[in-house]
Amino acid sequence: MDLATYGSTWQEPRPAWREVGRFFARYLAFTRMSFLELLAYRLRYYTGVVTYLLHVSVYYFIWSAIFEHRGGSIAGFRFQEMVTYIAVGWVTRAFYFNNIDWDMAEDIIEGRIAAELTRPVDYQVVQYASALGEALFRFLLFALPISVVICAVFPVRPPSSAASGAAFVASLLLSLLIFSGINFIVGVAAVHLKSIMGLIRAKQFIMQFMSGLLIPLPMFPDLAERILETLPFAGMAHYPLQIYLGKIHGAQVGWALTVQALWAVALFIIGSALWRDSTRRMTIQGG
Amino acid sequence: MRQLSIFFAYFAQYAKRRLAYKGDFFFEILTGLLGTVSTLAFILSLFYLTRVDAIGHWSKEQVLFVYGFTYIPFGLFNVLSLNLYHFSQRYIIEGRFDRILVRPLGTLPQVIFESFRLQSLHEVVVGLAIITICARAMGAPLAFADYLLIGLMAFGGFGVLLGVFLILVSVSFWFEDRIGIAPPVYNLIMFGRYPIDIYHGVIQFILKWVIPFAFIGFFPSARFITSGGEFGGDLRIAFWLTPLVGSVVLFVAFCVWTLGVRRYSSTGS
Repeated sequence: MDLATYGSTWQEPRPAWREVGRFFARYLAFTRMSFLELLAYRLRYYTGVVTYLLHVSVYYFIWSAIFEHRGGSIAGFRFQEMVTYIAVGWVTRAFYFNNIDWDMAEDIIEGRIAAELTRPVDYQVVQYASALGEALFRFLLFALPISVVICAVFPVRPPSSAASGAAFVASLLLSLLIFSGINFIVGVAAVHLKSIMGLIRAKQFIMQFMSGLLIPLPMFPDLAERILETLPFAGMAHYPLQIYLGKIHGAQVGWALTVQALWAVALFIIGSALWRDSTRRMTIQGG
Repeated sequence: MRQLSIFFAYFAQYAKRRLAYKGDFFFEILTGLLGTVSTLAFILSLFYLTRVDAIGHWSKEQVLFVYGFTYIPFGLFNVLSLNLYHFSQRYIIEGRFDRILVRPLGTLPQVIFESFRLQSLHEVVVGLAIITICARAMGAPLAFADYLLIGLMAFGGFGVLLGVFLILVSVSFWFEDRIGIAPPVYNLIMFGRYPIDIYHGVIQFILKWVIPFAFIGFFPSARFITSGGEFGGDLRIAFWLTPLVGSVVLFVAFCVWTLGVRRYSSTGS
């Protein structure tokens, strides 16, 4: 080509921050999309408030009966603390929950994945971005109303201090990353299995059980507790709630947040590797 | 009798389809079992991994008996329930119901049996296993006659479950179910898996008189978890009433459904 044409294709080198800006703008579009999509179906979330109220209620009554019969405290938890534990545990679940695994399975089964792979965006980051949008929606229109209702019905205590409240928020954001990371990895399995329903159910079971949502981890035998604390699931309920209730402070909080952050990063990396490997196989097969 | 032959026809179709993919079927039982085990995780780890050994004045074995018992009616219910969850969406909104109406067969059996999940019967097996173990642990192992009685009570509980959800589903004959009223009621089942006297009076009232989920687990177990004096008065009456409650709820559901179908076909929606 001649100099004139070549000259017209010359572009100013872009400053780094603008590249970053473009990166975020691209993926935030997916955040916005997911938020708006959910907004359109918000009516269904109103009954969700009742559902969560029922969950908190049944565990409230069970623990109430347990403590009434037993009195005192179990593994350092008094009844009043258990009430806060249950309520805050479920409200935060309402916040970080998403169905990335299910959505990915649908994308794969319905063959949309081929189109997705040709897009100039990273599929994994797109999923995370959508999860962020969903979390935003859930925070504003789901978790907030639920917490209002639950706090009106049950004697829920606020965070033990302003510092623990702030650390709690940080912990929650990390929970979101961990949850999305686990879901993404489960979603990748849909490339290889015909149906991941069983896997999803197993994941729900493992999460509810090992995260400490239903039974505080300190109530388990020592060895079990220590093992569970190192797993990513503890980042879903155990760590945020321990921080909230002020059962760990100072350096321990820093340690908890670090464990969560490490898992968030590790899950992203694992998910990325698994995804790249799985889709490479797909494109080779020309699918 | 015609309905019965339809049932067998559907079942034969279903069985043929299922057995063609044997691997799939066993896989689904496996994953179903996993799901069932997950619902046991909480209560089992509560009683066997922590220091908790009672809920209220009910011992481990008593609570587990009630909880385990609920798997029997629930498993039976799950065999037929899949289409009910999607009824509003699949049949009304997407118009599949019109296809059912034009057939010279009853609408209710068609909808119920169009999605049969035989693998859900594994829950019945799990339930029977749990109550057998608990009864033995309580020092009152179950005799053959007890199992017959349990079977009767389980059908009562099954009737309550099926009836309640049929009524819920029939609502979509009158109103478009945009908000999803089934999930909260479905979660109410959780309450029926434990002895109901741990709940607030209002909730107990609802579970006994409004949405009678007290009859899917607690009341039908009453005779087997209490001894002598404890099993008296109201509790004893409630126990024996279980099959009746199930039948009544099922009957009401059938009436509501029939009215709903009539309305649906008359408005020509």
